[in-house]
Amino acid sequence: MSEYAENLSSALAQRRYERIASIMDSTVKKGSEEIFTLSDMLDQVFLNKYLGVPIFLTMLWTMFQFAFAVSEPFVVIIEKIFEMLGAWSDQIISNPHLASFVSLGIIGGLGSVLVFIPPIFGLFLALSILEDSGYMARAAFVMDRFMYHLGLHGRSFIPLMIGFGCNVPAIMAARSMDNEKDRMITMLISPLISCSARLPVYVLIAGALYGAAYAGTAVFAVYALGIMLAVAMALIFRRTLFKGEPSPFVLELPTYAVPKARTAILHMWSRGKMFLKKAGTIIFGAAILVWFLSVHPWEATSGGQVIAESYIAWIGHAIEPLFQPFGWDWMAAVALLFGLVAKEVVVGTYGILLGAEEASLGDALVSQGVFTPLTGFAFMAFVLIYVPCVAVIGTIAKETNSIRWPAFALVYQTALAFIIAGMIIGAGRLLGLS
Amino acid sequence: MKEFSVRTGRLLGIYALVLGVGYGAQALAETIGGRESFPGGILSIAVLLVISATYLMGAKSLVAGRREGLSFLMGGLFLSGAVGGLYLLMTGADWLMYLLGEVEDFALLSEISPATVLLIVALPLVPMMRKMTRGMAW
Repeated sequence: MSEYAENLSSALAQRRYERIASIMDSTVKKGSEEIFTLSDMLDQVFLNKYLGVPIFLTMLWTMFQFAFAVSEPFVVIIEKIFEMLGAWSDQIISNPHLASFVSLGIIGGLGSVLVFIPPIFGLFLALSILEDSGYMARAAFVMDRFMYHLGLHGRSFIPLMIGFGCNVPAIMAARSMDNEKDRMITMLISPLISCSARLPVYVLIAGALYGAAYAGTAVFAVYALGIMLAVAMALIFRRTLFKGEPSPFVLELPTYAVPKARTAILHMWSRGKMFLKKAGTIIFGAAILVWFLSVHPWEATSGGQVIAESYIAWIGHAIEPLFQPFGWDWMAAVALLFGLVAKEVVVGTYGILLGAEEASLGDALVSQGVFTPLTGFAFMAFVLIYVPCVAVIGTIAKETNSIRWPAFALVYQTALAFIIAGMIIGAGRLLGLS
Repeated sequence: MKEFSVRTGRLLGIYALVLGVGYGAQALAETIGGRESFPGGILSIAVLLVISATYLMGAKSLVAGRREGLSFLMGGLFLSGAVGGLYLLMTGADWLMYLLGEVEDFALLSEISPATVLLIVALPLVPMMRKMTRGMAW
């Protein structure tokens, strides 16, 4: 009897385990090296520990080349339209004050910014495509691996990527970070990421000084400099003002997808609309102010013909000594000053100061010897680093609920801009570059 | 994923090797010769080297019969498409500049960059990859 009971127990146990195995076979996925999705396959490459960062830099370079080189003919078309408008306004407007306002203030000032709509929209389109494809989240993951070794938080990278469009939402995006120190570091370094407002300055100077062959590369170099400085300053802040270990970074990677043209264009448009709205308000207002200061006193400037006798020249000469060691003149000084309102105003200021007589503003920069390749690159670096605009300072004040941190940001960024521009000029001169 | 034979893997591996060497050779030619049709200087050379490395890592795995080589091949195709497509668009932009009178001449053959040519060489891999990954979820 006991033998039969023992056999029955064994048989029941065996049947029970057979049933369990059958259920597990149909429901449990065992880990293996088998790749099951296309996203897994692509992640093997894009998140590869050797290729991840180089591929990210490749995509970044491709993005900037696309924004700059492919948009060039459209920039020329817009320039030609404004040239025609300038010539037409000179013919039909008899009042010299009004003619000066239209040709210099509107066409020279605002127009010189609007010609950069194609590269700005091109950049937004490229960013939208990368985001919609799912690659941007991988970029954050890849950079986290790199940044973690420096004691930085990978989650900082996402607001930094937003900063390519505009630094204001990038600073606000830092709210997503739980750790207060990580959040402060992100807010302080976000302005070092080159926003789209600075792109017209780069496109103008790089296009004029380096030619079509190397302009895209020069622009990429400036963006890369911004990323490197952001990482370096984050490291310094982590070791000094905000000591501690970064909190773990957990990020859900979305699956890859083929970006849809309609969605990418809509994303591009929603970002580009902000630029157009800014152009119609802040930049236009600043252009009028710069125009007024550059043609008055009206008699002393002979109706705006002799800019050297204007109020703006007086302001420029007063602050020029700060920038003379870099080889920049008073025009660069006032352009940087008015650039505090919005970075596009740097281009608008040059458009007014150099006049609209040249075929393009870029030609005017070259023919009048405003910059050399070395001083031009240092200028682009200065524009990258010094305070982006008053809106950024205001946002930092609002997000930190203090005046200490925006004041600190203003001071450290300005100081860093002088240091880096000085290092570029110094290194260039040591290498015998002009 | 559809199973692939050792022979197919070796064939794909050799194709990836050819593409990897092609991109590497172009990077070397750019470094030595500085072809005008390949603008961008040192960064464009670095980009070519990244694409070359991606294909070569895939070639190594495929020739050894490892499935992960397909991932690198796919990644390489993506990069070839992005960079080759970019240079194709830049050629189009140069043509538009010629039409606008901003440049004096435009010779299509000299304007087509080696990256575009290598993209065309890589294109036959696309239907092969699509066939092998048919039915796979994203």
